[in-house]
Amino acid sequence: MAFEQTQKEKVIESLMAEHRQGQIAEINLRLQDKPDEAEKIWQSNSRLSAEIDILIGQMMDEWIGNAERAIKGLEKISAKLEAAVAEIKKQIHVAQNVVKIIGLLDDAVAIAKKVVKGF
Amino acid sequence: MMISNTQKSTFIVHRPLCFLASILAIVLAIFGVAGCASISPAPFTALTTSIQKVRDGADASLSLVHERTRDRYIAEVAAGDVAKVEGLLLTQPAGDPFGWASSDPPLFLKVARFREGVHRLNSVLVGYAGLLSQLASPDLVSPEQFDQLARDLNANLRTSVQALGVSAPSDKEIAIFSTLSAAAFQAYLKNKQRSSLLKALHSNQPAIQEAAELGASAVRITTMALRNEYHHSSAKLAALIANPKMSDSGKQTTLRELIELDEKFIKEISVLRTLHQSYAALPAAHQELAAGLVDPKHGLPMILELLEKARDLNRLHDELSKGD
Repeated sequence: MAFEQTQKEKVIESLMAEHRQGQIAEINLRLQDKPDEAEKIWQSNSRLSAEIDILIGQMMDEWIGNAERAIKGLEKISAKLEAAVAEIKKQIHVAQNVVKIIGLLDDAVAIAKKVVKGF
Repeated sequence: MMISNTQKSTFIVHRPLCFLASILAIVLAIFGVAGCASISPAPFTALTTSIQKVRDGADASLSLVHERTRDRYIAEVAAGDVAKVEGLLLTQPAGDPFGWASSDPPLFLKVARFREGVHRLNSVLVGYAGLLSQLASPDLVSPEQFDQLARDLNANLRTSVQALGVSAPSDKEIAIFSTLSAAAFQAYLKNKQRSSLLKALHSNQPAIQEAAELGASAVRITTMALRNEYHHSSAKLAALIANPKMSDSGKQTTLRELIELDEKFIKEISVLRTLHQSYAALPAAHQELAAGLVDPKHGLPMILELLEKARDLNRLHDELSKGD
């Protein structure tokens, strides 16, 4: 898949172009006051329209099938990114905790020193 | 003579000030930080902003398609195509207490499912871009955090030195030692931040390429469906105008409706064209983020193009909503 139309898209597009030509022919016949002929074109064009609807619906279904796999892949890579962000935050927390622990140990040393002086 | 929009269309420029200001701020930030050694978060913010706009644009377009296919379905069934009603009688799929199924789902139901799928894909993309922004954020390894670490360490050292009865060295000496340690740790984490970002950008490039192609394909399918609905609505109005029994004033009113429908369709197609171009620019923009990390002097033309498309989408949406 690239950024160009697929074969299937081209087929639907050409069917839609035919359908449009049918509509234009029907309107022209109505303008020429030929309602019976216009009606016949309208009826066969309606059948083509139903087929186009089915094909568009199928393309949407196929897209959902393809997207499901891609969405899962993207969710996986997002989870990895989240982990990378968390890892850096964790290392900062570890450093902050180390500083806190050093502070606590220093306090303990100060208390111990006072106790030693008391003897 | 035939006219078409195959040449680049020109529109009256209408720029909502707030959105323009935010885009301008991002563009200035992108240019402003070029040449700095630290990670610039601006291109990452630009990517997130652009993908958010693409998601909104795609959803708005599919909302139109859903509404129109649904209206056409109602009109067709009411006009006598009663057999179609069966598709509306939903059943429960075996073994799925929360599921629903239609034996012959009408197009509007498929459009609704498709819309949901496109929104999901775009939301995952927005989430991914947001995480890249987080990983690129200067706040992740902020100097303030490390200054605080150094200050705490200094305070601890002073307390312990004094408690041990050693004649305290000057504050400056202790501070220099602590600042150096903290700075080294910060440099290590900054390096880790940069390498994690680069690794993510390189290894995720194929996934972004695939997602962008899927997004572009969704836009083309949406365009097809929208065009199909336009064909139906416009032909219906033209048939009314062609009816010899219709009064002149009735014809004038219907003709005006047809003109308005055409004008609206042209704008809607412009939105979809811009959306398609945005998806097409996405892989190169993603690649550019990595190139910009390796060489801060590397230009960011695709990121800027994406931002430009986001601005276009905003303007076109604004024009469309004014029409409503």
